[in-house]
Amino acid sequence: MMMKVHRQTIHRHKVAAALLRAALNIAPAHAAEWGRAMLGELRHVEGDWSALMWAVGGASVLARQAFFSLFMRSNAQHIAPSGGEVFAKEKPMRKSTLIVAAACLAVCLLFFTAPAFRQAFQISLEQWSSLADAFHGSYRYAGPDLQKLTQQARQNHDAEGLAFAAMRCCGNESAQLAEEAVTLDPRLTWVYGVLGARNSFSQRDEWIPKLEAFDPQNALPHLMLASQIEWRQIGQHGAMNFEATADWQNAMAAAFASPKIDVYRDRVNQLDHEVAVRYGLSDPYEAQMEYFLSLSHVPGNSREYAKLLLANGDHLAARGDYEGAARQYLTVAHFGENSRASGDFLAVPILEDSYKRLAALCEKRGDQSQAQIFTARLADVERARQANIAANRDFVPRNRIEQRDAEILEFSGIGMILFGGLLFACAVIAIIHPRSGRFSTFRVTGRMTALAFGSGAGLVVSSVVLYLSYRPYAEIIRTYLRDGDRSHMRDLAFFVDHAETPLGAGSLYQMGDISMYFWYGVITMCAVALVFCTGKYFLQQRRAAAVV
Amino acid sequence: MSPQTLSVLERFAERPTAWHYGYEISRETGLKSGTLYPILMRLAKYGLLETKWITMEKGVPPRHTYRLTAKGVEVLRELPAGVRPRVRARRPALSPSGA
Repeated sequence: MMMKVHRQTIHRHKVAAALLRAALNIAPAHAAEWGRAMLGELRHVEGDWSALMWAVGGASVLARQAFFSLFMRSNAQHIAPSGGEVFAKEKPMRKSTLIVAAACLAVCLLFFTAPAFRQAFQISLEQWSSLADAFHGSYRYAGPDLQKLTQQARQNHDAEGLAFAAMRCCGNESAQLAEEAVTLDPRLTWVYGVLGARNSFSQRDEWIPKLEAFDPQNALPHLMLASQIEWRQIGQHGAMNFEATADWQNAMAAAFASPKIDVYRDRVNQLDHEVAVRYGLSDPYEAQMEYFLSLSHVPGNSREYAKLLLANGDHLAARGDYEGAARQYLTVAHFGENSRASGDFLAVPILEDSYKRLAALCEKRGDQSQAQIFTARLADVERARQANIAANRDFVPRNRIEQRDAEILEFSGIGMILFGGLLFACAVIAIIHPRSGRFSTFRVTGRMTALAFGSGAGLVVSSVVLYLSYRPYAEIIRTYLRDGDRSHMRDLAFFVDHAETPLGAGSLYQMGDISMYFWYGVITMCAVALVFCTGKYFLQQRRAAAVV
Repeated sequence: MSPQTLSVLERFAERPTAWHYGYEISRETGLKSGTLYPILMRLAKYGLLETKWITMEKGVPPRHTYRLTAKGVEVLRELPAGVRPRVRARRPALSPSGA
């Protein structure tokens, strides 16, 4: 046992000595004597762990000397003129240090010449603007690029440009731009349908008949009218009585009888691409149609009307009126198929209910071949539903990739600001501090040199990471503008959406905008206060030492 | 001036003519080697500290020792009263070997 302990002690001393000898190999010439001094003392250090700690401390001193020797002139014997200057820890800064720092800054500025990099940096700043918007109570809908585009479109009487802007603005501005566009080119009347399906505008009453005249086979104006009635009823009475509202039922009946439902997705895509290419718009916030995702279902509570029709059909079937019941079920199935064709997967339950009833009705009437057709349609709808679920299951991990990329981008943006600020502060200190204006007399502390060098390197690394994290998304916009390929625009939409959430606020995201931003603000303020107090503490320490 | 530098100077000021070992100063001040040696290096660089290798016995590696120079004592006296370690009168050192 004693032998074992003794062997361990010898081992630790050997390790400690080996560590110091290794550090001696990298130590600069002026520090080698001190390295040997620490090595000489090692055999007198009591305790094996203490010896190891002694060696670790000594090795760190030699490693620091080796690092600083890369930037500092070699240590000649200095003459200290007074007590105060002895402890100032100043060393002449090598020109190479300043050159390296300037080169890092130049590389960063070079990055800014690339439009994709400027965009990436701008997106990384969006987290702060959304934070500011949340506290000011308003959100920025029209960015500077869109405002410029609107101005140019007005000057050039470009109806498509105005329609493009109308679909990206909100409120009265949006309605006004849409009307200007349609006045210039009545072929753009469909824009009323896009806006009317998205929001409840006061102008919607005027738009509905115009849209009906423009596209008489489309169910959309009838659905907009039904939706308008719902809004009014709920606004007046706080609830909607579907069974007792004849106007609403008439509007829905017209919608269910219409041959098609078109939310003008193809026209929007075509116009988007043409205008984006025409104005060279590569801003992802304007190019991607984030609101388009919200257009996946048609306006109005069509499911309630479908329920009314199905209940009515059940009633007729119970009375033995199979023809009448089949007509009700088929009307619902027809509308469900139209909705599904327009990309509205909320229509799937309506379709399932109607096909189930139709199959059962045909079996009851002994029409097996017709029953099989409806059962096959039901299976087809079920397959489509499963495919939709699978697509959504695949969408979640994909969404996580965009979230990760957005977080890397935000982190890099913060890194750039932080390192850029530190580099600027070092430069200011270096320029203000010298006693003469000559470059060679710049005198900074070793720590500040290391800080300047580290900040420069950090700035370059942050810039590179920022660019790399955004590059795939810049490529998506480039491909879209070149070929009109929208297949990855959804990824871009999720990316910019995540990039708007302040870094680290993801866990607060479920709280709702204002609460989330409030608590995020509180946490940020606390962190800033902590940094401020720590800085103040160290400044006080330095001031106490500066009494000398 | 850092409190660590002050405590090292205090050790030297107590016996200005005596030679001190690095490990001895470390034990008296409670400073680790990583803190102590940069201070010693800086003081030596400015000529406030002189260094010497001492061989105690044959076969054992020599040890590095330190003491204040006359300039070092002078600089310590220039320091303001609040931070200045009390410099005792120069007298022959007892350990490990006289000045």
